[in-house]
Amino acid sequence: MSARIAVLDYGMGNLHSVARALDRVGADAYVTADPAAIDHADGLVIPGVGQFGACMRALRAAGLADVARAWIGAGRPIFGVCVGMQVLFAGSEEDPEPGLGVLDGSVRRLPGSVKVPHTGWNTVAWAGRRHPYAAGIPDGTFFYFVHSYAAAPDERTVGVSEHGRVFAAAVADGAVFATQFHPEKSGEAGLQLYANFVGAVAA
Amino acid sequence: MIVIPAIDLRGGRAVRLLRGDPHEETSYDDDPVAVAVRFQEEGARRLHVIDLDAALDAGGDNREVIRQICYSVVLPVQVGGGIRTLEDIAALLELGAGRVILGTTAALDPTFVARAIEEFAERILVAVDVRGGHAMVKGWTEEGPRVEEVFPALNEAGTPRYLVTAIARDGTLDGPDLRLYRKVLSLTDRPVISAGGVRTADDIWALRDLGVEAAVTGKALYEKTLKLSQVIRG
Repeated sequence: MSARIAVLDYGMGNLHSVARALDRVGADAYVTADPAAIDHADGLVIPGVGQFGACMRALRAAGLADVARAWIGAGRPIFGVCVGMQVLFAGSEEDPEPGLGVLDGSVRRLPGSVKVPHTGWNTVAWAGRRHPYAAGIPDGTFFYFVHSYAAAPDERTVGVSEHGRVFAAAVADGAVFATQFHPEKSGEAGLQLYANFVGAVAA
Repeated sequence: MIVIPAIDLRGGRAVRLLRGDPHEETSYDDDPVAVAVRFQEEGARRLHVIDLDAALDAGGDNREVIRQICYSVVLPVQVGGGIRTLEDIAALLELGAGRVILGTTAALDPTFVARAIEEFAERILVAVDVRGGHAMVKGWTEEGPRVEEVFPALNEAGTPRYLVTAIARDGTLDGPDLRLYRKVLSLTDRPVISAGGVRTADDIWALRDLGVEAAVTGKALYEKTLKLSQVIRG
């Protein structure tokens, strides 16, 4: 039976392209804001595009901040994408609105010395012990980024990239995994990453 | 302040019309998908895509292009043009639209609006196109009720968010109709997105100061009187 993946619908992001990519790698993905439907899933994806504060406020307004926190607290597998990664942190330089606070630290703006937003393809170097979701994806593979803020690398960083400075392109902490890049726009490598997530969730 | 770049589609191409007149067309790029990706790279946080062929009911539509745009960007895309039934809404959401815009003709049917909102909630954006204080319907050719009547009825129907177009300014670069938006904001407490007339960054700040949530901007970006980098920090 294929893994059921809920894609969190709080109005911030191109949700269908995320769901379609998950479907392509064999998941039964559905876009939802309904806590019962989310609870029914095997894995949760938090997408997110736009302003950090707007995303957090939308999550809270929809009651989904608590749903996500409870999900993570229960140790269930979650995959954050782009601002969906950033909201896992305590906060962001972009807005005083607090994040979910699942990961310590805050997200900072990319330096003014480079073009911001950072958009397009960039390489990711896997860091530390290779995360299982990165299996089969060579070091230095290109992924697709669209962002202006990023987290600094720390002990939870499992992939780094560089644009003006080195930043965390992928983080992991227990069942929490998140990428600053968009796997759903990153061709075969992105699909492989989702496939590894879906496979782990189904196992 | 959110500036939402507009892409109007006609025969598969990105075009701009002057005040909605189908005979006053300027073509900007043959590849609307490339336009969408360029707006994303310039920092846009959302895109506004209108299917003019569907809106003008001239036969044909641009749904395949809309699907490709939604597939090619990470941004949420609000889509409008010729949406008249719940099936139209469902079909566009299925194509990948983030929000679907109910045109003014459909929006003036409160039963339809209420049903659409019941089924699709925040995914619905209700368009009110205004000229001379009246909502305009049928491709902006027929005068409907006055805005003072339109908004209370739509508020009542549960409208989550409005898109208010100042028709006389659309595609003109004449500056936004601030008086209209002041009036509209006094008639509703829901978020209002403006469209029409923006020329410069100062126009964007003036709309922000009034309390407009976001501004759909087309010609100013194509004619480069406004750059996204001037108004989008992140």
